[in-house]
Amino acid sequence: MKKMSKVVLVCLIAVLVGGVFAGQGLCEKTKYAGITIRMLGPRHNWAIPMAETCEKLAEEMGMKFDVTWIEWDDALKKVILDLKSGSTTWDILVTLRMSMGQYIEIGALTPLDPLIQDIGDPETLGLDDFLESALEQASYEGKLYMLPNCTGTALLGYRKDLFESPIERKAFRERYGYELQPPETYRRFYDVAEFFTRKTGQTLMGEVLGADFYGTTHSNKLGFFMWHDFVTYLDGWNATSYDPATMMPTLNTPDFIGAVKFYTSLVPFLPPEHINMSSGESSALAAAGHAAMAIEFDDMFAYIHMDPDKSQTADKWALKQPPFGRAHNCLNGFGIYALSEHKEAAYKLLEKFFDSTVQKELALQYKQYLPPKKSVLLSPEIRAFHPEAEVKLKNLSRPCISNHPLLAAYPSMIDIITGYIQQVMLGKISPEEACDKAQEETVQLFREYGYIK
Amino acid sequence: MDVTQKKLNAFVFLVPCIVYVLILRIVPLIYTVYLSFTSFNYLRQQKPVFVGFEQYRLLMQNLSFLQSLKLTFMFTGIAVGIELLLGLALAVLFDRPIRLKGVLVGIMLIPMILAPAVVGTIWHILYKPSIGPLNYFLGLLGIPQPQWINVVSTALLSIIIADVWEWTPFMFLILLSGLQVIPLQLREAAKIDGAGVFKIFRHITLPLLVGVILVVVVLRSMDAFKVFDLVYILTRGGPGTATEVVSIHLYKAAFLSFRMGRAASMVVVLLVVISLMYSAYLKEIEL
Amino acid sequence: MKVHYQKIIILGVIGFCLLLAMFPIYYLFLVSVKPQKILFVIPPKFFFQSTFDFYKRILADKKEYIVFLNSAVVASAATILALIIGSLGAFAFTHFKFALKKTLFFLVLLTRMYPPIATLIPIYFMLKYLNLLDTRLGLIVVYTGFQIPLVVWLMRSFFVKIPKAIQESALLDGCSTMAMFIRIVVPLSAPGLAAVGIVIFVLSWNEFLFALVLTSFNARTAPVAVASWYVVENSLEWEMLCAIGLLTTVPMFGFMAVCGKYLIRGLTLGALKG
Repeated sequence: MKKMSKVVLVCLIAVLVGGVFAGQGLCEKTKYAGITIRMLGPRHNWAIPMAETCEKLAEEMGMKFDVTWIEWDDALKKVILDLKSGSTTWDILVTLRMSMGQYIEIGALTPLDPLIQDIGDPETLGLDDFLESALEQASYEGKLYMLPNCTGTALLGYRKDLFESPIERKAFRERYGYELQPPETYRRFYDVAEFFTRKTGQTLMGEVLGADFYGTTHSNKLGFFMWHDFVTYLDGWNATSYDPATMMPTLNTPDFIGAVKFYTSLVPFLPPEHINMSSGESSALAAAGHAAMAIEFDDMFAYIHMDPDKSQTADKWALKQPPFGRAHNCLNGFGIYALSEHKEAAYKLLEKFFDSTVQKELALQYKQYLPPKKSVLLSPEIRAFHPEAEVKLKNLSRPCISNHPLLAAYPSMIDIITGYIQQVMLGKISPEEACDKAQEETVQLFREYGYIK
Repeated sequence: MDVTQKKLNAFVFLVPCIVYVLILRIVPLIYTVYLSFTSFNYLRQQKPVFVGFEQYRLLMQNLSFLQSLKLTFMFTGIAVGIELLLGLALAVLFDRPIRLKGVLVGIMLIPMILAPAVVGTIWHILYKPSIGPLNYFLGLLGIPQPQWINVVSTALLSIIIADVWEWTPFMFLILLSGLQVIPLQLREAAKIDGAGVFKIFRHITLPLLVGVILVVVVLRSMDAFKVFDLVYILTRGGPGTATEVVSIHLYKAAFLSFRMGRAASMVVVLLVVISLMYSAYLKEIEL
Repeated sequence: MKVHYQKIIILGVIGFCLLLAMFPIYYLFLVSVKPQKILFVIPPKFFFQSTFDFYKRILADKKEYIVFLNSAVVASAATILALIIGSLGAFAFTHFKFALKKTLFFLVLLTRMYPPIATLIPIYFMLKYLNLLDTRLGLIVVYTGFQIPLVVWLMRSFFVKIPKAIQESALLDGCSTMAMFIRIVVPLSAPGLAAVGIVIFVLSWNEFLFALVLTSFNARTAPVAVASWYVVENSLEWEMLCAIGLLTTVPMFGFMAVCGKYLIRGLTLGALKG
């Protein structure tokens, strides 16, 4: 009898406890049930896993999740018009660093802090687990505007086989007087790039080349294509594009000019189509075995250079921090549309998505996915799957001033600067002249935007 | 038919067309003209601020804009010229009984049917100096391989070639249908009379086709002047400013810096330029 | 003998033209089935193990199929409406005399002289006011407006050719202007109508900017769906873009097959002779 009653008691407790939890689940389901969360943004490789995961998570919450994929500059046009006309269509916006300034400027994003305070579940969200620099970059004037799941940081990738080849090492030593190593300074980076730039018919590692070979490769198409590559050099020269204290552009400071001079001096070592390439093309070129080094975002290496399905040289690439300087940090993530009618539901969905366990699973599933969460970046399992994790963490732990300002004028400023850098590359004007002109035009731009008088 | 009946008739034919165009095209244009006299940063301001002729003054001083006008004229002239010659030749070529004519014409029209962005992408790939097939074939034939869109000297030419490929079918289509409308009897009669192919073409076909040719040239050149997709995808206006056409400037003003007043003034200037270009032709049309 | 040479040369030239027209398309298809690994090898590979993965990926997304329906409906309706309204207007310009004729004609032409970007914002707010945002009807209304000037202009040049004699005789016989228009003018200019119809159908199908801004998820059209694969900076999704670019062209062939018949058919000589 006693045994029976014990069993019955245990069963009853189990049922009760189970009922409470199930009820909670049910409660959550009914609270947001029937809502459709709509997301708008570009189909980038860190956003696709989010969409797939959120679809499942939303279903668990009784909601639907629907994505409209549009490239970021087109999405920007859409958001601006929708916002200005009071449209409440969207709930979540895929937020890239490049357009974040404009989104915040027009009020397209709603600060997340009130939502976190009111309905946030600290354990799920794990704010402490985010890298500090990431959260800082995702905030503007003290308010958090988006939750980041992609922090692109620039790394130096190089072909191990070339650097280890005895033939090349001997030739390098003879020519430059020091040992061939993955470069620690930009001076040495120049030497290595010069050394490895060969024409068809010359030899590389003792074999005759069937096609031209390049020391390094960059994507220098006008606009953000070039800017993403150039920013790393700005960081190396400790230069910025403007001074936040005075809001004056700083495009003709000696540091900035120095960065432009060096960047344009690399042109002889780049493939001739650099001036019209995107970083995807530039990476594919290097991965196909036509370049010795590449300074690129870390996820590109994982996604292209080191992926055996996409690269002819997958196992030949190694990664290290770029030559001495600040870390280049470009943050992307998801924010909540200011006119959304389902802000709470959207936030809850994002919160579930950013749970460190979910993030870790995704990082183990996708080669190019590595969120700025400490527990993920430090996990040995992750490090085995992601060779770039260690260097990335090192890079992101350095102090970084983002050269991706959160200004609405940011894309126009980039357009001006990259236009003049291209002129320098074509040999039409000197770096000093280019920087002076860029400064002049950007000052006018800032005046029109009302940043300075 | 009495006068009021005739007037009513005219109304029925004319009114839907005019009203539609007025509401959907002219009214927004008036708004644009108004904006051209204002300074209106769409991101930072709520309302446009009246500034008189300031935008126009700045525009006339903007050397790169004036330079882009010149470049666009050059592009239009060359591209449309080639398209006309090729289109005409093709139309004449196809204006005869051929087996599977419908299918062949359909195939010829494919470049025009593809989305402009797809056309841009495929030419981007074709123009790749070492990876692309164009230079590969040129190499096989022993011809020097140009850098296409990557150097200033051939960038504009590359865009012209891509444009010709994309839009010659348009010329071809309209000219072919123009040829179909010309009564066959006239040509048959001339043939019976012993006239050679070229003579028939010069003295019968061409004069009757002149109207259609003029129309299609004016139309196509107006569109070529506004070329955007090809340039944006292939070069973004580069290298440097080698392919910076007017529409790139407009795009940057409207969607990059959101300076609506500046964009509006560019539109008005474009409008004036183009209507001046064709004012002579428009006067000549018998209406 | 001479005739044979001529025919061979002509066929040869036509064949060459077709080759030129088709090569980029052929390469487009080639890229869409090339595995990414060999996309950047020098020299380019023409024979390889092709992969239809990209097509599979596109066709797997069944939710997106509706964009083809949207595009078809919008483009067809806009084309038909524009052809009707535009032809009526074009005929008015050739047949009637009325005040301000030249001015009105110039006004219609004017609308083709500036880039459509300029009217984006006013039209957006116009549609918003009419509650037509993200609807197929809204797009139809806008696209018809875009194409009417083109129809007017092109059809005018075709209508002008129709001999006045036939038109006058029909009117004298007691036909109303509208009946004369429908029964005589339209059939005689059928090739023109077909040609213009093809052109504006293609233009309406491929229109991107307004479709992007005026639709969100209900009335999305094919170009906007294609654009979702334009990941321009970070990835190399050429194959996807090429694959979907080709796929979106396929439905248009259906339309062209219909129109092509009218295009190729010659003049109905009966009316002229009689």
